[in-house]
Amino acid sequence: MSEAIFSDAAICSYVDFKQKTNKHKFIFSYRGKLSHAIVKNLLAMAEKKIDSFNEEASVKKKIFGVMVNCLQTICADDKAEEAGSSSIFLISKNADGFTIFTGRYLEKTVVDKLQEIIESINQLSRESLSDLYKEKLKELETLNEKFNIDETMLSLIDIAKKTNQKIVYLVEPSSKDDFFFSIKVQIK
Amino acid sequence: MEPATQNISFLYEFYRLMKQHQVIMMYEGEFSQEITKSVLSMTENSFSTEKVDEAIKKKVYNIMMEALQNICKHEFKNTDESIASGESLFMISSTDKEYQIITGNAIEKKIIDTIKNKIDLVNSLDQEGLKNLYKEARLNSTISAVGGAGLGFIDIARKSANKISYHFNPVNENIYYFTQMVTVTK
Repeated sequence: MSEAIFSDAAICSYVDFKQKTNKHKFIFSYRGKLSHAIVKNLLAMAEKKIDSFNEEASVKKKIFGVMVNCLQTICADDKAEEAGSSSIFLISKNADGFTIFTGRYLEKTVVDKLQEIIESINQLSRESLSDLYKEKLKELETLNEKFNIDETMLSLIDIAKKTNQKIVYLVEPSSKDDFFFSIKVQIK
Repeated sequence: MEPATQNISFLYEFYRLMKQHQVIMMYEGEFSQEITKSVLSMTENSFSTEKVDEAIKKKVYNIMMEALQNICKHEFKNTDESIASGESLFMISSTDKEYQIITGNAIEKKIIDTIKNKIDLVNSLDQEGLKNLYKEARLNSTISAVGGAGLGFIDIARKSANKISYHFNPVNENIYYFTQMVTVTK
């Protein structure tokens, strides 16, 4: 095959970066701040993308439901006056179905709590998840905090119910006091 | 059991790579007029927290509009899943000294020379030369098959006042991935 043609070396690092992402077959990816306005735009854009696939309506509904949960609670930073650090949101499509990845920096105390929540959610049956969701919904209080753990717990329970899959997560320590927290949700 | 096809640990590396490139916003996926509007709107929202001169932000915004419209007009829509041409891409990175607006999309090989020659031409001119070229192009313009008067690169070069970088990467014998980088000095 022919060689690449380029004007200068400065652009090559971006090209390499893009090539690294190609192998993951992302159909939609976003990295940046996630204010309320941006989340609204992203949901509209991603919904159009998902709609373009020949999937059953129930699958599309599932994917969109998971997206809403991820973007509006797990990733969102709309409670801050200025959006905080960037989040990452990706959708890929392969033989296993659709996979949604999200990631962001969070404080250790929040990460520890989230780990605990996901571990317990992953043990529960669908029926138990439904019961837990109803219970937590009643208990939900709106907190004036940057990251609402109760809303996030509800989102995670909802994700587990919708997908009937375990939520995979990873915590990477950063050089500061924050940890990079990421989750992967598989929709078959 | 986690599917073998997708490990999650790449995500942090991916995030760090973007941080390394100082990417403030990135979107990869389909482009249309509607999505262009959404991407522009998202960038505006992102910009609201950046402490930069309004004139610079306006330049960046206008360049983005041209670049994204070029994607809509010229991207090769790949319907064959066996060809990994990659989704179209928009990225904006912010260093201390400049913004870099990067766009990428698949194109047919037959239009490489047209694009390369246009960019090489605008890169060889100073602001006065670009102004004259713009006037000439407007006077002689014909609407191409995909719309527009071919003024995009001239306009981008005039607004950025920096050279446009390009990269054409072969996907197969007929398709290349075209990446363009436009720099706006802060």
